[in-house]
Amino acid sequence: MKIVAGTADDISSALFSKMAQYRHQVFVETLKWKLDTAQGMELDQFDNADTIYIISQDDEGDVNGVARLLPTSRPYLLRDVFPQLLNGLPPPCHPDIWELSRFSTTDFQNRSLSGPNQTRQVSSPIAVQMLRSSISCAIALGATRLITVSPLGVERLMRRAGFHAHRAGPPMIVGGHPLFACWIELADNATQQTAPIVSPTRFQSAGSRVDSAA
Amino acid sequence: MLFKVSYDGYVRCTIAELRAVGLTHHFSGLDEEDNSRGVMSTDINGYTEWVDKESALITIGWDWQMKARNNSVELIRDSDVRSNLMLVNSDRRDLSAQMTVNALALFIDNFDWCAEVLHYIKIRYS
Repeated sequence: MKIVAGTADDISSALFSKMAQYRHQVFVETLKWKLDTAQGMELDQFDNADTIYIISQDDEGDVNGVARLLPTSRPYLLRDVFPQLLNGLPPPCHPDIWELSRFSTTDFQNRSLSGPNQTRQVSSPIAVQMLRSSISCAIALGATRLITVSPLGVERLMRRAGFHAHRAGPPMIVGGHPLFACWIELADNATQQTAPIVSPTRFQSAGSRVDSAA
Repeated sequence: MLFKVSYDGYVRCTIAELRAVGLTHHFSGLDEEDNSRGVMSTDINGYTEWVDKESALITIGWDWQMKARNNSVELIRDSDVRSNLMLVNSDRRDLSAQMTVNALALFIDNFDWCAEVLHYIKIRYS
C-alpha cells in the first residue's frame, strides 16, 4: 500500500485522473449521490489548485482510498452545502481548522473489505491508515482540528480505531442517508503512526516518514 | 435547563441534567447488507439516534444488534455511545471524553429504548 498526498500540481495527471474516476465509482455509481460529473470523473467546485488530496494505491497501482483536505478559511463543503449539520453554530473559518471530505476506502479490486454502503463503507485497515495519513497531512499544514461531513460509518471507524472525534450536531437524513458533521481533535491524534506518505516536503511532520514527491 | 453548544462543538451538562430532560427518538435504521462476497450475514444490525427533549441540541447514537430471546426479539447495544456531549461534574468541570462515553453507556443501558426503535424499524422497512 502506498499513500500519496499533495495538490493537483504535486501529483501526476494520471494519478489525478484515477482518483477522480475512483470518486465517481464510489460516490456516484455506488452510493448514488446526485453530483454533476463528466466523463466518468467526480470533481466539484471545491476541487481547485489549493485542494490537498490523499490517495491510497494498492501494489498494482489501483486507487483504493481517497480523501480531500480544504482549509475552512476558503469555501468548503460543510459551509456551503451542509451548514445545517453544525447545530446552530456558525461554520468555522480559521486557517487552523481544515475540512476532511470525499473520504472513502472501498477496494473495488479486492472487494475483501466491507462494501461501499453508507454505514459500513469504511471499516478496514486501509481506512484507518488513510485517516491517520489525512491527520498527519493536516497537522503538517498547521491544522489543529478537522471538521468533516460523513456517513455514520465513519464515526464508527474513528471510535473503533481510537481517534478522538466527536459530533458537531445531530445527524440528518440527506438524500435518504444519514450524514453528520464531526470534529476530529488533532492534538490527541497526532501520535498515531501513519503509513509512509509520498508527498512534497511541506507534509513532513513528526511520526511519519516522507519521501520526495513522485 | 438551557443547553447551548460550546465553541468546540460540545454541549456540556451533568448526567443529572441529561436525565432530567430526557431523550426523544430521532431516527433509526438497519445496516445495509454487504453481499459483495456472495455471503449473507444472518445478523440483523442497525443504529439508532436520539436527541434531548428540550432543545434537540444534544445528539446521542449507538449501534445495536437484534437478538431472539425468550420467544421475543430484543435489541442489544452493540457499540460505544456516540454524542456531542461533554459531561461535567457539579463544579462544571469536564469529566473527559472517555468518562463521558462510559457514563452515557450506563445511562443508555438503563433507558428503555428498544420498543420505540423496534416500532420505528418495523414501519420504516415495511
